[in-house]
Amino acid sequence: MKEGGVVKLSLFFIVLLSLMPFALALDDLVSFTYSDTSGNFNGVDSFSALNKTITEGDVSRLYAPGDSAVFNFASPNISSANVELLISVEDITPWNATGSGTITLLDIDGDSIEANVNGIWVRIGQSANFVGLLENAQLSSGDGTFDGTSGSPFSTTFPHETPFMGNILTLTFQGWFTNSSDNIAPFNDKTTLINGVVTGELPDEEEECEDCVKVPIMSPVLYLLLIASLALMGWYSYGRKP
Amino acid sequence: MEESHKKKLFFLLKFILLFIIITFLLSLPMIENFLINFFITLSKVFLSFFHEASWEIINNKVYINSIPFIIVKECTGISMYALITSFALAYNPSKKNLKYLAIAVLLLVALNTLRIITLFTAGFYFQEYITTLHNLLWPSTFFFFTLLTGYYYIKISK
Repeated sequence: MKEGGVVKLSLFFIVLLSLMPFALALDDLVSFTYSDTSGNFNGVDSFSALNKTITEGDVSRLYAPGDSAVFNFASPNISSANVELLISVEDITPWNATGSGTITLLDIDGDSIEANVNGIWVRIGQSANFVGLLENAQLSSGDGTFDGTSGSPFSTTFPHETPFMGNILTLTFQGWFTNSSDNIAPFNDKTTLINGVVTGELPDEEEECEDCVKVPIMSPVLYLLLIASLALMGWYSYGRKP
Repeated sequence: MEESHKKKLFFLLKFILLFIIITFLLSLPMIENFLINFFITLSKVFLSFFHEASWEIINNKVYINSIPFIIVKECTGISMYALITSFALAYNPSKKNLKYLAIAVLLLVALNTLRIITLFTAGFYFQEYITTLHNLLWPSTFFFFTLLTGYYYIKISK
């Protein structure tokens, strides 16, 4: 490579590295699916989806080490477990609406996943769909594990920063908030599917573990000294005849 | 400028340029995560010889007798591999010499494995020596090993 080319390439890479944006690393923490919940609309501005006997749920820890708690609401062991989704329905048109509210998932012994929900309702064919974000999501610990009626309990402790953020929720049921005359009308017990993923961001390493023994090979000062030593060795010997 | 000075300057520029490129490539998340997972797996294999109650690995943290060790990018030796590789490639990238470079990098990986093993062993039995090992013994070992590798590389290039 020519000398000029080396200089230009050096400058290019220095500029490139300095312009590299900070990459935000979001991890999927928990996913949840509840099928056959009971969807209700009060005919004014409020939608709710609640568990009933035929509801089945699956809440999975996606972040290592994994595991999945399964909920069968017909099971005698269901205890205090429930799913409760309350969303407002505003600016209703025959094809869309806006909504915000809360979602609460309870396990069989009091651990919970709670979040605010914000998004939009969209009518696609005969199906109403809600797409939105979970905000301010919190996993509160009772006994520290999320237990279902079957499956494997998982730890509700994550190394990520709370509250968790930037999460997606979808919600589907047959029907819409207006009747065939395009008038707003209530409904009860529409079979509703709830899906969601909670994500989170790891804190900066410095904040994450102040008392940890980090095991870098050497300090930056010693490393710079090593670079300089190698550069000097190369400088004095390069191009010399043996 | 004298011809020999031009050559030396050319070597330095190549060294810096290659160092930037190789550091950049080794810092790509895919490679960085591979190396971190590699050393975490090695740690698991080593720690499996010890009683399970005294250690635990959660993500990239290794707890030994409640002392938390964290394995991050800097622990994998990426900076050392980048340094010795860029030096060798800038100085004389002949086929014969590249074999020595490969051996040197493998030795660095082995040395780093040994370093992590000794730090964990100190966590089990000699906790008062962790700081000495971590801040003095191993950094100086790597410093002189890299310098010697560089010196030997120059010698075989003549």
